[in-house]
Amino acid sequence: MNENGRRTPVLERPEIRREFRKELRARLMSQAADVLAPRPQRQWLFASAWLRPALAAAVLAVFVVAGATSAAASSLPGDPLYGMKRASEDVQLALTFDDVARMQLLSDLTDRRLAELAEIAKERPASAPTATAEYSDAVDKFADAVDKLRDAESDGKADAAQAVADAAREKHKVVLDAVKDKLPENAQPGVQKVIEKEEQRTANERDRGGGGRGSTGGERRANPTSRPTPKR
Amino acid sequence: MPNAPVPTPVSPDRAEGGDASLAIRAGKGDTAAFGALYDRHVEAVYRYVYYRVRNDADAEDLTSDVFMRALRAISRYEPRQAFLAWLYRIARNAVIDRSRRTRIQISFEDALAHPGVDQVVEPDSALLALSDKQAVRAALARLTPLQQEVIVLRYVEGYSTQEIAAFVGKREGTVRGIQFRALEALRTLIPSREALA
Repeated sequence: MNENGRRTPVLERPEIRREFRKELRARLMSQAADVLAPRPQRQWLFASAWLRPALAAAVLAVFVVAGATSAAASSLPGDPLYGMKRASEDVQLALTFDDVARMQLLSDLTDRRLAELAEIAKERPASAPTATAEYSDAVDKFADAVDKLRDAESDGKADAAQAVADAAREKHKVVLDAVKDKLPENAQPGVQKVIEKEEQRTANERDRGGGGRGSTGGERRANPTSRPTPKR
Repeated sequence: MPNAPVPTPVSPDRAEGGDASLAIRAGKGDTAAFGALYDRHVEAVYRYVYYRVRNDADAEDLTSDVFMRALRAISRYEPRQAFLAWLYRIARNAVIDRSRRTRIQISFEDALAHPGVDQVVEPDSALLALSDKQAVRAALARLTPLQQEVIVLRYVEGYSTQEIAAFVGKREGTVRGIQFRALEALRTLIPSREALA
């Protein structure tokens, strides 16, 4: 035991370069003055937090008055009302302040984009590239929200993010595999790209080593074949 | 098998001058408090990331990244969590993000061959009985990232399983299990079985 009550190190301890340590400290201190300073724009943000719901409500009211919302709800990519449907969703997102609820909403919207893609594949293949792009964009936004929550200090939030992501990924994989072959050739690379990105995300999560997120509690055993060691 | 260490409770340490106290002050704009936290923990962060990326340049980049992230996030730090656990979580995420970007597989393969190493190794563990360090390196490289992490925190930083549990966000029993399986794997992978007996 050492003076901190810790075990004496058993493995070698690499040492940090003194110059680097000094430079980094200087850089941090110079940035800390800006980063840690109280920000006057926080007041503006506070004000905008009040303004945002009002603006969003106004936009919603316009939609209601126009009687277009319900018609837009069933629109598909390429339809004239589709932009209105997306704007309505954006308003809904703007009004969702809780991180977990926002991530859940993004998951729902991703489901919606996938359903649209499936519908397009059946009814209107010519719009498939647009629908694929919409779906890909939704998946990226959802993944960003999951990543943000995964980095959250709250284990509960991170676990919720992982659970929703796992469920969504499993569901989408099945649907995408079914839909892919029905799409015209010019839409297939887009879908394939989404599938590959999802596979990469899954692999990355696996590499995180089950750090408490969605892990079943079982630590992966050492697997000599699963971890290639590239040489620099 | 090494003897079980005396458990050292992980505490947020809210006392004046403690990590949590400094972090709170830093979050309120006290740059000197952030500097003090940096001075306390930069070496541990460097060692942690070094063992994950295996070279000085990347370890320095990651150490910078970790403290920049900590600086931006310090105002959101909550003292119910030990500061060091919070910092290790940032470090872990930084390593993962980097591996996503570069797709370099993280390994211990060359980490133990750090050229600047001069502090080593008190003979208090059976691991030290290993005469073939090359075999140890090869074996460590085959552990999972979490097993590697536990081994670093345990055998490089000397933390207790209770402390490691706080760092990796798992129960102490789970950490003991991970450590046990890591050592089991090493026993299997290292030619000289007597070395870890």
